Amino acid sequence: MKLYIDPGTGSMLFSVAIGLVSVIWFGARKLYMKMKYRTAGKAKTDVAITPLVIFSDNKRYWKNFDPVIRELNKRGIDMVYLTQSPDDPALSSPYPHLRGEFIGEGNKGFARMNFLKATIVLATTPGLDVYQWKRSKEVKWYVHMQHGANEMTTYRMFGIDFYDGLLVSGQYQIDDTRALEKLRNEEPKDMVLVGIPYMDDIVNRLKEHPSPAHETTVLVAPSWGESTILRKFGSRIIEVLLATGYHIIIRPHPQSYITEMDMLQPILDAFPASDQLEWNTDLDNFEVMNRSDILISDFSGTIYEFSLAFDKPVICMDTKFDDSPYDAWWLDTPRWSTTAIPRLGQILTEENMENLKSMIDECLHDEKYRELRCEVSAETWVYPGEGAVRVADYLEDKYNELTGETLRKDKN
Amino acid sequence: MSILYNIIIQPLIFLYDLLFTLLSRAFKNPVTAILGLSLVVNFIALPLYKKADDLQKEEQNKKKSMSSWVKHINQNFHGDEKFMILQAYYKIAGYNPLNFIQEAVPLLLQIPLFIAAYRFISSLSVLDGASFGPIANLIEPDHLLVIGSVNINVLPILMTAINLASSYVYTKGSTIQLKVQTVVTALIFLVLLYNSPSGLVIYWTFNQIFSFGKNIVLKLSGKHRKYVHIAIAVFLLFITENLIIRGRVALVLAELIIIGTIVYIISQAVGDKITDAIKKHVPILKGNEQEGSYSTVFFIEAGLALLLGVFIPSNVLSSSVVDFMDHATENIPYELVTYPATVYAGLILLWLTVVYFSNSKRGRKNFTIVLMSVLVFSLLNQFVFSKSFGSLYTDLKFDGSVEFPALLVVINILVGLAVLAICTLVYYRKPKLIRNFAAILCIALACLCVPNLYTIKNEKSEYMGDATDVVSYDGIFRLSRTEKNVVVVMLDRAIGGFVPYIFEEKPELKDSYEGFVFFPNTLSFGTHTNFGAPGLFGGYEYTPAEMNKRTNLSLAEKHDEALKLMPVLFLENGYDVAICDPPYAGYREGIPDLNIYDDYPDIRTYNLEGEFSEQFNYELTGNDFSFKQKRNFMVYSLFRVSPMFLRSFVYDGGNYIYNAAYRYYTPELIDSYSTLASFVDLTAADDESKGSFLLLQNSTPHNPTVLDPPDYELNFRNQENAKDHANSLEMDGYSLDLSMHSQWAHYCINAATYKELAKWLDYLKEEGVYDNTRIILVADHGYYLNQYKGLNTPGGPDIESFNPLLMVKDFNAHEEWSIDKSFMTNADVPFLALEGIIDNPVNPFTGNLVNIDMKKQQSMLVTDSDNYSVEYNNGKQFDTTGANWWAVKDNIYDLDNWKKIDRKEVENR
Repeated sequence: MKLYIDPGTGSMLFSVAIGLVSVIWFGARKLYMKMKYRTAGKAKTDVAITPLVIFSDNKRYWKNFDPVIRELNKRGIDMVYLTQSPDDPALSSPYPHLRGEFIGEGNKGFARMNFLKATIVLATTPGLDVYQWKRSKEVKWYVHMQHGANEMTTYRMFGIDFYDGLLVSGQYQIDDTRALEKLRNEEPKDMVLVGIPYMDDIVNRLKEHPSPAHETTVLVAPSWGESTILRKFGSRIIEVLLATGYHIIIRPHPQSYITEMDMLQPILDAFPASDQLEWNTDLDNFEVMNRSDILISDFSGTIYEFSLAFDKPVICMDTKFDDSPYDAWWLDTPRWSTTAIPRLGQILTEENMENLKSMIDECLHDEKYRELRCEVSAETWVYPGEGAVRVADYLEDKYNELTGETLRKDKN
Repeated sequence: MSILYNIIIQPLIFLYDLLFTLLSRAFKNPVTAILGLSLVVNFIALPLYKKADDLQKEEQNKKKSMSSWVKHINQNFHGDEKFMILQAYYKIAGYNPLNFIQEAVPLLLQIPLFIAAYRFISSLSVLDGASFGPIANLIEPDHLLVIGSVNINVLPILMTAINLASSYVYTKGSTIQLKVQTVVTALIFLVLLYNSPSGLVIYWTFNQIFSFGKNIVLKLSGKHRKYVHIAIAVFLLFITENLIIRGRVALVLAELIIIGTIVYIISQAVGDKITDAIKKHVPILKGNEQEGSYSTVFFIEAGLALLLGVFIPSNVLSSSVVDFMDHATENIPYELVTYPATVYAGLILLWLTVVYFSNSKRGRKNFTIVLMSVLVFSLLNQFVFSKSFGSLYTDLKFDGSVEFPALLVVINILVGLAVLAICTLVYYRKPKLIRNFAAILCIALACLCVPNLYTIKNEKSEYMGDATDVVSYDGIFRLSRTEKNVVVVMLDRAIGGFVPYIFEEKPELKDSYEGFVFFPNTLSFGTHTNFGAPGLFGGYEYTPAEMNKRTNLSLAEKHDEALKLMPVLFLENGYDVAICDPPYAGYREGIPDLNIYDDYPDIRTYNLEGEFSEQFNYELTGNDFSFKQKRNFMVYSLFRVSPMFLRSFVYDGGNYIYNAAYRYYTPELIDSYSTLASFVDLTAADDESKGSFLLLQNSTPHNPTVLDPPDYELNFRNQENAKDHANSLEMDGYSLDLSMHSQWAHYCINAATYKELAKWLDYLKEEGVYDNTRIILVADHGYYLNQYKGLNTPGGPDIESFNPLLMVKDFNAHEEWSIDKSFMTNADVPFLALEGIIDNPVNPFTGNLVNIDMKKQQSMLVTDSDNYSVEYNNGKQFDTTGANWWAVKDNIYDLDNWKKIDRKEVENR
């Protein structure tokens, strides 16, 4: 059958053909992804609606949730803690109002989350509704609490776009997010400045456990992956550090023991532990930070804990950070970290590594770094000491706003 | 599949067919009709096109705005993550690749419009043999350019050129990809359509021109576009003016165009202001305007579909299922209901819904109001404003004519307007009421359908097979091989003067008419059948002047005597007698009353004209009868619900605006011509000892029609003005003027008649009954065509109208066809027929001898009266008030032989 088409219709029909093919491709791909990430068996679905759920995809975020849970527990608010780590501390927590539940790792856990019935879900996991973790239709409010002390634009792209609320610690985070929302034509999210509960915890611990007397100690805490200190400078930096005469603690990232032994083992062999050199693998980094005077790190959230909570200088390696896969790519303004890190201490480069001792000394003794740390802290850590209370307040208020009811049981 | 086809494509073909039929009747030219069709199809498709175009542009813009990010994501993510991030990005950007299907709907909906147009045009039999300008045959590729031995089709190239120009406008400022796309499309269609029928390419070319214009207009700004709209409207009015002079169909079309255009111009110019003003000053319209909901429209549509598609067809079928049955198979023709039901379902529930959704919100409201008014008015027209038009036959023709008193028509129009006003008010005040009312109407109509369907379903068990035998006319023209036969064929309005010209142009006719003598100098006693036929059948006692003298009998009685004279004489002398279509028998217009022969049961009588039309149409067009009937059932529904002023238009003399076959030939012509063409089948020779007398009448020459020389065939391919013809023909110092349409049309149909009769004469020879059969071909009168210069009677009509055909072949005549200029009249026929067979024949009704003495003794008295209706001119004497009587003698071509005489003198002679 011949068919008449004029240019307009003709080109449209072309597009229809192309469109049909892409629809089929897209549909097939979507189906394939669904199949691929579908868990074996049927996901358990809730019968009743849980008022407040805390979701943790890894036990390492317990430290972020713990102060908040403590506060909620104090207020007599029941909560369900769903974790994807079978050995999450929450599962054996002493809080009577907390019910912990291991929901399975990977897709099994996500399948449970995707059919969750809850009023509010609090999480630190970015990528809601982007990756396997989808928004459940039965959840009214997803609220994200950041797990670091810096910008959220370094989440993988669209990491927080599908959250309803964000609990943040600095005005610049709000500005960044608003700018992204504008670029993406999104409804403005509910954003509240709450502070950083886990940093408050560190400060509180410091009050109970002041830094013990110790010789000048340099802590090297690299992260893992490409362009990290150990991979880039290798044994050379250890040699330079040992030459300073200071006590050196190296704390490789736990992940390096799993995936980077080819890089790590030769260094471990070359520099066995000694009086001057210590290899630290503590689960909790509080003690080691507490007895260190300066931190050398590459890009890692630890630098903010160390510099802002412990109030000590850091030397940060100059890594070329490629932000293409991150939300940061969308913004013309520089990432906040790039303005903050130079104020927290010095920048370590290949060229100045030989002068590391003088850099350490300058950071330890120059008073301007203390002032700059205060400045940075004010930018990224509002309401110090009030984080958990403010988070708990927000959750209570939001619940009331959403349901007209109160989270607190004892009031009923 | 066939149901889907009925629902999606067939409604469109139905509409195209109606439109094309009307346009071709109006313009008498298939190319103009194709142009009109193209315009209408494109205008229908325009809102869909616009919607599709907007959605596509939106999609393109969306994609364009997303492209840099999509690219970035593709570069920076891999594997599953890339897909997930893309999905998230699409979601954020408000883009869903699956939305595309929804967006493609308006575009995909256009495809059936074009498929239907393609199917319709491809199967248009009228294109076969039709020419257009330099294109010889619209069913063939055009072959306009011949270089050496290579034929080049110019039209497809022209079409492509327009297409490319149109593409240039369309893609201005677009991506290079789009430009390449459109050029490639244009070239593909050049290849696809290069060898297509030129008629089809003309259609596509019109589409391209339309599309070209559309693309230019769509590129214009709103203000300029408005001017273009108004210019188009004015142009429409301009061509409409042209239409008005083209007759009735064209007039109705013209009226519709004028009304539509004026409404359009007004709405374009001041539409918003007027409606706003009305709303401001008519408080009732300020009521709660609700957004038109489809549920309301659905019920209205369902009601209309039930009424047109099920109730009315089932009503007709159930009224007499047996009559509609196929008697051979005893099958109930359920398709007479299922076909209109499915096609109307498609037309109304599918296509009207498409129209509804392609409208703006405001348009949807108006649509709802108009549709509701149509439903209510249709019901009123069906149930209240109905009138009996006599019995309805299975071909959906009525006995009577479809006419209404003018007052009723006006009341009907006023009621229609009132319905519109009430629906508007109710819709604005209580839209839910409209919906509920429509739903109730729907249910009520469904209930009304049930008994009809039940009757149809159960008819079969009641039907005991008392099928009336299918009448076969084969062999009714019985001719003896051994005895003498006499055949008189009256050919209504066959003009004597044409014969020599036609036989000169087609000399092969002379072989077929071997032994015939043609009498050019033949006079008829009037210029119409009521005056001319009685003499032809009854001789000189039945000239108008003589009939007027016998005042003891009515004209009808005298006319019937004439019709019986020869049959009775032959019957009484041992002949087998058959009579077909005796004109005005019983002095009845239309179908002859054969009861006038009841006193002579041995005379076989038949009314043949019309009996062979269906078969004839079927053979010529390939359109099977059942399709026509199914299709006419659909239009019959429209007829029932039409406002009164449109009803006769839709009824269309029982043709229901059908069809390819009737497109250029009147049903009357088909009725007559198909009978003439059946003479061979009707004739049977035998060796019985009885001779036959056949008295046949045929009206083919009475239906002037343009046909293509040199064949003068009715083949449904001929186009008016399609072939050049001589403006005049010369012979023996006489010039025959053919420059006027009616002159040429008469000439053509006369030529076709002799050609068709020649086949019969040849057949008689084959059957061995030619030599022993006397054949008289004669007409009752001629016709005013002013074809002979200087042969007009002073102060009266031209001689041509008194010059009937007379051509006689006697027994065993073998001479070449020849001309005898003796003075003859058509009242010589009985004498010529009886001569040598019955000695001194006596008129059984008057006792007088049947002879031609009167012609020898005195000049002939003829009247030029136009009082031809036997319905009115039916006293004891002919009413010739206001007309002239003439005394004519010897050579009718000599004006000196025509003397006007006083009426008193006529009476006294």
